[in-house]
Amino acid sequence: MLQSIAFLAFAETLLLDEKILGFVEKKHGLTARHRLESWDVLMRLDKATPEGDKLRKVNDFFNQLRFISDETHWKKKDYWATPIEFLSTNGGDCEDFALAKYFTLRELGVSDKKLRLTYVKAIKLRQAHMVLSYFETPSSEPLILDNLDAEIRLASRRRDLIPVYSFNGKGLWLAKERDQGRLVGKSSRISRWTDIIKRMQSINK
Amino acid sequence: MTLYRQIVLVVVALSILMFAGTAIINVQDTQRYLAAQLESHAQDTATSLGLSLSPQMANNDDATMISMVDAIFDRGYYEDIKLHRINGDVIWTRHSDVNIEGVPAWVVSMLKLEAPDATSIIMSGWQQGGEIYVKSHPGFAYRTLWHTITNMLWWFSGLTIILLLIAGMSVRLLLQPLNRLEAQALAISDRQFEEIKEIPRTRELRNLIKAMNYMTNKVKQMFEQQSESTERLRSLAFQDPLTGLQNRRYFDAALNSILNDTEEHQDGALFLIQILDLQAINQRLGFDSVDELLKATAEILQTCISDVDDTIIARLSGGDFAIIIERINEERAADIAKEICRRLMRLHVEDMIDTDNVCLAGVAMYSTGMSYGDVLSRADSALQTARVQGVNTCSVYAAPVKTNDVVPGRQAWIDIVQEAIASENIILHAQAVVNANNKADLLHQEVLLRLAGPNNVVWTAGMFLPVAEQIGLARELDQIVIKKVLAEFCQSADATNVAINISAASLYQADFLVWFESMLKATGEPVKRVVFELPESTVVRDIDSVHRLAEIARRYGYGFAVDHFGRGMTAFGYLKSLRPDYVKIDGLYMTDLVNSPDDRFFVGSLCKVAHSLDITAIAETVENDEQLEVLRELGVDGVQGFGIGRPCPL
Repeated sequence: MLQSIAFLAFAETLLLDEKILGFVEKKHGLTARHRLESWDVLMRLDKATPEGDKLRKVNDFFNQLRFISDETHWKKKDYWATPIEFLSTNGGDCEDFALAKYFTLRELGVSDKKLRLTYVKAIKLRQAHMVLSYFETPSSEPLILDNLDAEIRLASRRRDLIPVYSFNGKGLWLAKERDQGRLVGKSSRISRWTDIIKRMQSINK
Repeated sequence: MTLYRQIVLVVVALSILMFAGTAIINVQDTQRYLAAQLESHAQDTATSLGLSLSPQMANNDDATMISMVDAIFDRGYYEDIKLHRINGDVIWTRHSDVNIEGVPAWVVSMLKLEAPDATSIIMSGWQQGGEIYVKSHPGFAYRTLWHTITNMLWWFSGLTIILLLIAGMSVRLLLQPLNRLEAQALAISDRQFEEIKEIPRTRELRNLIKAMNYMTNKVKQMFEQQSESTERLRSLAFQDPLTGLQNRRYFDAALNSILNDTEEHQDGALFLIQILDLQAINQRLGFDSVDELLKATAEILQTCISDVDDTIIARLSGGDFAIIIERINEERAADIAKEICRRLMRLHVEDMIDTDNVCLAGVAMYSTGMSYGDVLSRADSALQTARVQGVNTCSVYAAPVKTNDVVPGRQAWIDIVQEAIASENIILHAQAVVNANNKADLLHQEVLLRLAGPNNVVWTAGMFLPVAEQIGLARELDQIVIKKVLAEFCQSADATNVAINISAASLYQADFLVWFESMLKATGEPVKRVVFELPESTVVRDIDSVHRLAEIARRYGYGFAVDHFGRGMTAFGYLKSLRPDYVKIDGLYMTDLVNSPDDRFFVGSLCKVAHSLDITAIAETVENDEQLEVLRELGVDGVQGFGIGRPCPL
């Protein structure tokens, strides 16, 4: 029940209407509007498309965008942008890429069980980084969707990355959603995840 | 239920409702907060365990993983921790029963705290190696919840008590005017007319109090008018308007009443005083001078007997005056008569009269068994004797010597009284006082003192009391009567309500009241009503002692009453402060009651004065049914007299 309500709310946020498009156009220009319209087209992809194709299309679509660190982009140390913010401004950091891909794939009907947001260490860059992992089955080796590498590769092929921890998007979603609903917990407990969901919901209002 | 209680109850009910609402909201908030705490606690543990178990999962190091789970489980509050591989194989599971100590079962069942489970993935390199499942133990949360509830209850009880105190005090303060109002109303029914001085600020109460004050004043005026009109009426009927002395009507009735009273009076002196040749003085000096002369005469007569009890002074007609002095001996009467003549003679010196032939005085001593006509004609004879002696002289006629030698002489009386006191050998008789509307309804019996004479002769009080008073032994007789009645009659099975007379002589002795109080205190409150009667003349003469006596009687549950009510020319003000149980209207108004409209009207007025103060009115010396019928119509409550019942042994 909660899950479906949450998903409805979630789905709602991804449907673009003229109001949002007009707002984005006015603020970020015609190309930004075009980017959102292309994303909208992507999300209307036939649900029956093989998952491999879905992964590639989504990965390719978002990997066109520029990498910009949060500090230069948002003037904040760590900021999780919504896909619309990400697309409108034509740039974001690794989390924005991973999240945008995650939400889009979910919209395209990819099970939450198969998608993990994985914290990794990028060896060459010596940086904390985030990628989206795709597990065909719970125990299979994941495919890595990364903005540093245009190709989708098996995890074992990504020797430039060391996995740190994956978190379960759905579980986190539910937990945070419940938290939010109860209006308890200190504000520090409301993570960026909640924050981004909120912002995604508020954009329609 | 009082208004005060109702208001306090409403305040308390409202506050309980308010507090209960607050408490429910508070408990629910706490419950939600604790549930969220449980959930985040579980999730945090799952996440951190997931993170720290990942390297061990990669190494397939089950032993270390189990140890780590144990460490976390044993150190914290968990119901379940389960660790399994991604394919579902269980590696390790820990469980502890939900056992909540120190929290009542109803709290656990009524306030469900769902302990949510949290899961987290354990990575094995890039792959998902397993999953950890954590469920927090709700025991701590329940204890916290219970603590919150009990804490709140304490606060709630404390605040309720404080609220109750504050509400109680302020409502009491607010309603204080009503208490005063109540006191005022009660005072009115007690015939005390007091205004409430503190007018409250609350508008409704203020109007109420003002209205009540207005009513109080009205009632007070009505009462005073009633009392005044009766006093005015009496002076019209029985007073000589010129001199303020009693008139002939009163004199006749009083002398009759005295001579017929076998209990108290009987011995005394009747003075007739005549101002000579009033007609001639009138012609020589005029009306005004005569009036002045008569007033001066009245003043002189009053002065001459001012230190004697139980006296009546009347102006019979023209220059004829009469004085009755009860219980006085011949010697003293002669002294007073001489003093009167001497002083009246001085009127000539003072130019009140133009001749030194001023007056004559004749005195007749009276005693038991003499008739009105007898006494009056003997006094007249004495006056004629004085006339023969010469102007400004007096003559005293002794009481006729009794041919009946059964009646003792003065010295014999003294012996009899002393003997009776020494041996405490007295006889008590009683006369019934009954309800005027129902002769079968006995109100009380008036105790009458008798002494035994030789050959079964019984002496009535009127025969020996004057002697006893003269030799200062009346008080001893009173004490013996009181002692006998209280100790014997009142303790007996056929005890009735009784009235006991106290003589003025007793009251005037300082330590009598001390004896009286210790007697009543020792006896305690009687089963039947015991009332002490004092004559009106005594009440008026020594109102302070009478107040003290009445106060002592009431304190120990006894009553107090006034005898010979309406005999004197006194105002009735004393009734209001003294509040006797009843008054006995003097017999002097009974003689002529049936024929005299004035007497009837006056007796009726006396009843009204008594009734307006809630005092019972009783008529004395009722001799026949005709009188009884009239008294009934006039509103008299009780009657006493030969027509009702003669005295008989108690």
